[in-house]
Amino acid sequence: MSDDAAGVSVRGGRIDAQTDDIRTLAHVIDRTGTELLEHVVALHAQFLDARAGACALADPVGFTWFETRLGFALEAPGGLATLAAACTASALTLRVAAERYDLADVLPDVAGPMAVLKELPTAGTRAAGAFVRAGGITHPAAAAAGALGAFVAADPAAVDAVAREVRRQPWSRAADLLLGAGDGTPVVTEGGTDPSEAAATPPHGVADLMSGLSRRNEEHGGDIDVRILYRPDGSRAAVVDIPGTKTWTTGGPDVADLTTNCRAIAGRQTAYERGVLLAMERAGITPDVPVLLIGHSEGGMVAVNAALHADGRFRITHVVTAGAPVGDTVGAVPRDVRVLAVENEHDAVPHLDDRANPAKLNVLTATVHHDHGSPGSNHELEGSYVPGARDIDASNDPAIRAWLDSARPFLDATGVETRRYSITRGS
Amino acid sequence: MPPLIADTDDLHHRAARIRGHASAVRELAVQLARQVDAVHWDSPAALVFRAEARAMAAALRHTAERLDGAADALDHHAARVHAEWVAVAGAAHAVTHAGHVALHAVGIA
Repeated sequence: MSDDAAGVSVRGGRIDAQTDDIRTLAHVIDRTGTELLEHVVALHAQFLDARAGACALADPVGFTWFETRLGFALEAPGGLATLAAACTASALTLRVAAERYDLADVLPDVAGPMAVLKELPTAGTRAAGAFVRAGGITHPAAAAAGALGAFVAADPAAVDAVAREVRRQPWSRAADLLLGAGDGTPVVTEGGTDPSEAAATPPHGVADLMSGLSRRNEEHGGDIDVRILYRPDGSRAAVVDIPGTKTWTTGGPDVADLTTNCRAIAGRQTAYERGVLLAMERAGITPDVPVLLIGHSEGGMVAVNAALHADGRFRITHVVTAGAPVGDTVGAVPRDVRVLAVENEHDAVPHLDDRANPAKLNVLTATVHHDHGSPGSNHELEGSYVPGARDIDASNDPAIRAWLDSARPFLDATGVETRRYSITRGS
Repeated sequence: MPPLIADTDDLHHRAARIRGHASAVRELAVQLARQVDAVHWDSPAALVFRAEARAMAAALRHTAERLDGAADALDHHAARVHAEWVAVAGAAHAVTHAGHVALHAVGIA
């Protein structure tokens, strides 16, 4: 322990810090976050309002493309809003670290040997996480004294572990700060059986699966299908259709919104995901029934996360995503879940996470090539991903053939009943 | 210009404002990187923070590029809208002119 009056050096020279410098840095980062938020607010005013309706009619593709790009720049993970939140969290962590370093300089003599507190770094990590999630950014030093007080005396270097842990999932943390600790409770409404001929035709390939999803995608946000398949041997299987984003608002009743996007891309549970699992339960899907989840865009992220969080309640064996940014999450899917991630080479959305899907035995990424000259069309189910799925069905690639063989329970049915459910976000 | 028809000059101005914000965000990235490098702090956590700060600065630059891209998209949109208005106005003028000619021919105007 150093007695450097200008700062603190703690235990074996591992840490050498001018705590005033750290606080100054916290201030700089905090100010950066504040300025970013001001930019976010000002840039929101640049979205085209109702007066631009005629402009949208004159050039709908250009209008949509602009709104989408500005929306992603502001609100998507990696956008200004989340960066602002990340700055706030960073500043908080720095202040906590500075405070702990100062306390560490005076407390060990009081605390004495504290081997009993070996487990406390973990507890402290949790406390710090809870502290950040609670948005305790007004008086971080005071709050930190309560949340982290004891264990730092035993091992001041644990502050580093806390800092590292708190910073480990920046988007997750930023989403917490930006969107609140939760996103409500799902409300699932049964919509009865879809009587249409298409809904009564069992799928026999990926294109059929994708077409079923596309059909439900035409409905309202939060509308999903649970397709009960009746196989030749008398057993059942189930396919769940999960459409993508329908609104760019946050926190409203529509679960197919920006809130779900921000949480799902970071692998966090969402009301949409919990609603899907609830609908499966309502449809009578038992743990012995193999389940394939298929989702487009946001729905793909929700499908992957549902496979991550189902916890044995269901036997999810397959996931199909179409145009979904799942690079951050799909690698954690259990090995007994086989994922087919379909990505159109010309679709920007699967790349929003700036991370390629991991190459794993149970994660197969199939890139298809359908360019319609506009970002919206290249992301569309009907225009791009249904034809892409046809390409997959026709492919002789051994990995694709193996995946299709594994998915036979979902492709050999002789009958199907399509049950409709509507998921909304309750308080 | 009828009130429901948006002013394409306004769209170009909006694009310019977005570019201004993009520049400001880039400047914030530069300042952030400079300040982080200047602080005296050496520890495992400091290494993590510096790496994160560099990532943050890179993310800010990336987002600034996204904003520039949005501004470009808006400029292109405005140009296309303007071209549409010009075409529509031209067609309307041609129809009006043809009407005048026809009325004149039958002696009404």
